[in-house]
Amino acid sequence: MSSLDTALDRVLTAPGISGAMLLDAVTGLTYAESGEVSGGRDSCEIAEIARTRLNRAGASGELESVVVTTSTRHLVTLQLARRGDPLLLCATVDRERTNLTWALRELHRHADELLA
Amino acid sequence: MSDPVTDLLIALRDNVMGVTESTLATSDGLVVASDANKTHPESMAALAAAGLALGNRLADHGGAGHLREITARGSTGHVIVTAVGDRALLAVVADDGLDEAAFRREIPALTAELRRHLDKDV
Amino acid sequence: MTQSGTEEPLADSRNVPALLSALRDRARSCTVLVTGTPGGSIHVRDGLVVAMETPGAPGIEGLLLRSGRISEEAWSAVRASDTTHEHLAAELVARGLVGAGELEVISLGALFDAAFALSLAVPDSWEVADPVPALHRNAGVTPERLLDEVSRRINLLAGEPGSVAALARTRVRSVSAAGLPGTAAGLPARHQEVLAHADGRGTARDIAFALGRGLFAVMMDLRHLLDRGLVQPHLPSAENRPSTAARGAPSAPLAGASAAPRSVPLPRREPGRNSAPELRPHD
Repeated sequence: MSSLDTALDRVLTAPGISGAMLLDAVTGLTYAESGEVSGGRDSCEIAEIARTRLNRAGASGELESVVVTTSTRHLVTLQLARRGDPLLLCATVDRERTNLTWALRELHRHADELLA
Repeated sequence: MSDPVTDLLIALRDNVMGVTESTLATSDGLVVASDANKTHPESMAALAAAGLALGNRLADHGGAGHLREITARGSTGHVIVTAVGDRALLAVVADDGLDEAAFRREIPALTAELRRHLDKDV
Repeated sequence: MTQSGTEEPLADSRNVPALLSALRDRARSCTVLVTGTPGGSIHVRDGLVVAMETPGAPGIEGLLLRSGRISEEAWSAVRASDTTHEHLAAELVARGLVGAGELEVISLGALFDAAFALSLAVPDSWEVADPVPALHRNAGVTPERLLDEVSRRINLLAGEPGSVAALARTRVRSVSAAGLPGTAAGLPARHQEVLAHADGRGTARDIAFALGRGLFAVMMDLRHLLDRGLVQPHLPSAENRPSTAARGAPSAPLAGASAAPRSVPLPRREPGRNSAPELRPHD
């Protein structure tokens, strides 16, 4: 029934991506989630800090992504620009099953389909 | 400009969600008082007076009885013009989220109060 | 459908959340009409909440139109194609006016935002009525999730009870220094927009409607701007009488002796060209 749930389930078909979550970058509201997304809420805060601090530090341009890497996984947060407040696509990426470059490319590809 | 009258207009904005501006004018389109920032009170008064006069004729022609108000309803807001007795009118600008229930509740008491103030002018 | 407001009494509806929970247990489809300041309508389908409308927060239609996502003409065409207004969301997507995922995001965002707005007021009364068509596109939200999200929002905005409702009622205006070049630089574009609308006349709700954004999102931004000292509550004090005449524009920060002559009560107007309304910058 939910187009967002269906789209997020498709994200999980990519090897190595074990969880995905779509959040509002400003309100933190969870629009949809699928798989293992324990770090999703924190990703929203991390992205907000990155966005405001970098801006204050004089960085120009909009935030595109934040990657937090632990010994076993990457927590990837993509900021999706749209008309209105941006969204965050947070994904849990298994380091043993895929590499970051490939996972980012997959996530960007799915992000475009998400709001279509 | 009389202060208690302006205070009544400000109170309307306080009491009814969605009301953003208002202008009290004479029936012939001169500003009496206004609580406005984005609209131009003089223009609003003139347009509202013309609109209300036209509304009176419309209601008359359509056999709709005594005119209560005219509303210009837009995609993102409204302008509502209500007669305040025979000599004045109140033009209210509101956004698309106007609390119509509260507006209907407040307007009769407000127009009565405004009339009392205006009647002192003789 | 035999469901109606009078079919079975909902005895355990002490408050609106309890009522929604009872409707959830019975998998009812109905509309809950709440009266209050603000009031609103809560649309329930098979026990799940799918949409809410309230004067306290922008609705889906306003968000779509105000943001320029769809034109008035396109919206009229959509409404004309479905006179029952039951399939407006499907029609919007089918015509390619808005993506299915995008509409779901807007629909859910407006729903949770309205729930938050309604939670800030104590309802006078409520009643259960027959379901009526409501623009929405989502699979429905449980009352528990609505409550959880509302509490999360209230916790995010403030500590002490009542302070969130007070913030919602506050009329804010930008401090004059915020207009100086450099002070607001480095602020994200959305904060600058909120700052530009903080004219001392509107509450967070009014700014949200003007910008076509959510109430809670604007309140988060205002909290940030308040913390940075870029906006301040606008207090209509009796001593500061001349400010009633001053139209919006932030005048001197201190009500010193020099403030009065500097404030100009009306925008400059020349004889002969006094009938044209000033253009609003964002029109």
